[in-house]
Amino acid sequence: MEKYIDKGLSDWMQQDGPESDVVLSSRVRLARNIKGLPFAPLMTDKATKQLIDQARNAMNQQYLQELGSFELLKLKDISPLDRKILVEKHLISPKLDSEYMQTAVVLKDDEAANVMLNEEDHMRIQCIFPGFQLRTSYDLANQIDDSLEATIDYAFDEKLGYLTSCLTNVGTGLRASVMVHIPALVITGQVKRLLSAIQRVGLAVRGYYGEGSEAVGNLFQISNQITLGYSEDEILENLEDVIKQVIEHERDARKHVLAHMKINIEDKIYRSLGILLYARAISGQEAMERISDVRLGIDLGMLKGISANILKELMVITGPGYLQKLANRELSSDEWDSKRAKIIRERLANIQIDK
Amino acid sequence: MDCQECKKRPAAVHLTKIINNKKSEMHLCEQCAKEKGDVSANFSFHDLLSGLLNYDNNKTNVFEQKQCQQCGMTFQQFYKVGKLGCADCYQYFGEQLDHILRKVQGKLGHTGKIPKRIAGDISVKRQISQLRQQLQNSIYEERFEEAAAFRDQIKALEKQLEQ
Ligand SMILES: [Zn+2]
Ligand SMILES: [Zn+2]
Repeated sequence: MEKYIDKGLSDWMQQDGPESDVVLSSRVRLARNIKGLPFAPLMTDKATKQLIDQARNAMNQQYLQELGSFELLKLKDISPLDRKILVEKHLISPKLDSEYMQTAVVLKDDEAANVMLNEEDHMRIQCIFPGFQLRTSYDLANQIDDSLEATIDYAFDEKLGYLTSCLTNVGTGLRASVMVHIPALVITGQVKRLLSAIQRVGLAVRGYYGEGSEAVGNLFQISNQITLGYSEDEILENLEDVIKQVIEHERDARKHVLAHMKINIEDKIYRSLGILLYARAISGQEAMERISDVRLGIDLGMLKGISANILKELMVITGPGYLQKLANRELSSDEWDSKRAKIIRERLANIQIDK
Repeated sequence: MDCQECKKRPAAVHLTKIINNKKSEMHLCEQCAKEKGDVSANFSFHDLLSGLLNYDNNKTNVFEQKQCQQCGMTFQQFYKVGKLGCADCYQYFGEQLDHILRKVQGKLGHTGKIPKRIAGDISVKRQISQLRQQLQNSIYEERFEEAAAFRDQIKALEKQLEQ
């Protein structure tokens, strides 16, 4: 357990991937249920035990071991703070945490994959990779699925595919999502139009939520909405095509911003950097917004000496759970803000300004 | 931002619902979200459901009487929770679910991955239904020799299924 907590950053946060100037990460989830066990709303203690036993048995099979080293953890054996950090690291969902007495998670040691047990579905296989790597992410999830399926009978219907507790997941059970950082589209006011176009082609867009309600840090999560009637390949291809366009539009917008709004954009980036370098207290939401500006400064070549992955990194290590872990005690919200400001100052210490 | 419910703790759960093109948002702390329970967690899908069914009172009664013989969930319960009780619910609520599924998912008919251990039978069945379509077309176009060939292929595959 400790290794997942102590290692603040998963590989997807530390590493670059393809098109990582715009795409921060690619995630794939497969929803699966076990034949003969009741679904989430009617789940019993006995069925929960069967579910975890079957998952443990599947984990001991060679098929899965060939894919890497996996560990099964029951959430009730994990401290509340450590669970919170797993949520902040996206290794478990808030829902899995909120029902911790009955849930478990299988973690892959490099944190690229996990299987949540007894979430909304019996099993949710999730894989996450840095940058634009939907196929890599799906391939791993698919292999894990194959290995589990070697010993587990899934609830499957010829016409409806994989049966899930909620109708929104039935069919492939596949939810593929990509997190994009699109500050230039936001600055140039094109984002609304783009996002509504994306929704019209059957994809869902969600902002990345900080403490407030608005999408913060110019981050958006784009995912497929439909899971039935199309093959996995078609679903991925459709999403990929749209993301490719988003990438292109964002790159064009960045060029436009440099060509026509240079002073405005420089001012914005340097002001944000100034705040991050000197603030003594900062809220999670403001931190995300300022770091988004700094990240744009790095992408545009104005700021050097620091990894562009700072954005992904700080999303996690400035979360309340992680900050509390670092402090090793309960923190008040004022303390969070000052602790957060301190970590950011330290993290940005080596930044070089292109004068 | 503070929780709309208790106005004390910071909001951690953000829900968006869209009804008749009108969007409204709810911001709750974890505790209040938990207290609101399943209803708040599922409420966007739940609202979607009620919008999709949009039936009159008479029809409601007919739907509500349906019950899954495996897990005992009634259609009314499903409607409340927004989630099915077991895999067999898909059979027992078949007709109503098809109606909702068509709207939620666009089209019916899984064309994706099949679990390997049962893939054999299903792919044979997929083949048979394709051949049936071809058989009909060739009869319609009066290409009878071709039709006979399709018929033989179907028979052979059906035999294979029986074994
Ligand atoms: Zn509250
Ligand atoms: Zn049922």
